[in-house]
Amino acid sequence: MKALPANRWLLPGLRVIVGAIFMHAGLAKMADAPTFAASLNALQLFPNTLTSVAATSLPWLEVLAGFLLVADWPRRLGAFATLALSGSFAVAISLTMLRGLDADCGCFGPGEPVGWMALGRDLLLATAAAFIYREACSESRNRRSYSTNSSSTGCGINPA
Amino acid sequence: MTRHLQRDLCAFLLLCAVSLAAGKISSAFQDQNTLAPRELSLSEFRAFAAAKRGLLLDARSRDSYAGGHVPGAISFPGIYFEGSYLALQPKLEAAKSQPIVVYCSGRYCKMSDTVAQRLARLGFRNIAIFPGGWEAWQRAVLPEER
Repeated sequence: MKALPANRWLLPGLRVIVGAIFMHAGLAKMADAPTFAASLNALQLFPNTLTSVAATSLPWLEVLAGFLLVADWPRRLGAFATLALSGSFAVAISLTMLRGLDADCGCFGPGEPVGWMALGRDLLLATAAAFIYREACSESRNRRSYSTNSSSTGCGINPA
Repeated sequence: MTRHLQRDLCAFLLLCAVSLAAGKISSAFQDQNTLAPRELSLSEFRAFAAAKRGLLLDARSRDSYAGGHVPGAISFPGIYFEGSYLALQPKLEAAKSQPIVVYCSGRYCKMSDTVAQRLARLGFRNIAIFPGGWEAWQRAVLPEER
């Protein structure tokens, strides 16, 4: 894919925006861990014993993923982590909606119900993260091709 | 799966492990009981109901409550949370530091979870639910109050 001229600013900008959103979401959950645990419990995704573990570790994972994305080091890890997280959130929200549960998503602290709005936002974040990851992969592929003259692709994603 | 994807996946799992450790350390500084509404077994719930220490909330409808409830339970219809809360506010505020146990119809009723979640949001920290609910209580042929 030929790089768009806007990519020069688009990619760093997107990285900072997505990373900041993840850090904000993680910090909001950390600030009110009991409410987030109650939200997770109401989603009925994990047994009760796992809910406490998920409620304490997930906000850290979000903050770390967001930080790595903003810091742009390691280049692919931040993008991969945010992609994996937003994809998992989208699946969790879809499952909750399919089961017809009227629960709080706890995405940015309390007060937001699970619904199309939350799902749409997660899918948008997943798309942005996938784009960043793909660009990071292309970059590492180009670097490798330059140093080894290899024709193999990076990250298993074949650019057109 | 390419080697790069495998490497990214491994790095992500390592990040998960770091987050898990960080979460464990941070939760060690908090009261574990406040993190999620604890689920009580029937024997624990019986002991709580008998001890009459703290509040026992029945999250079912008023009609179901009138048809029979756990002795000592207070009606708190979860579907009208705001109204239920306002009606019981003085009692609830007075019992803020005491344990609160919520139950509803049975295992498939999610109202006790919802009530526990909303109370937690209002600053109540010592909340537990009895997932077996009224069905488990009746099945065990325990005393009822009408």
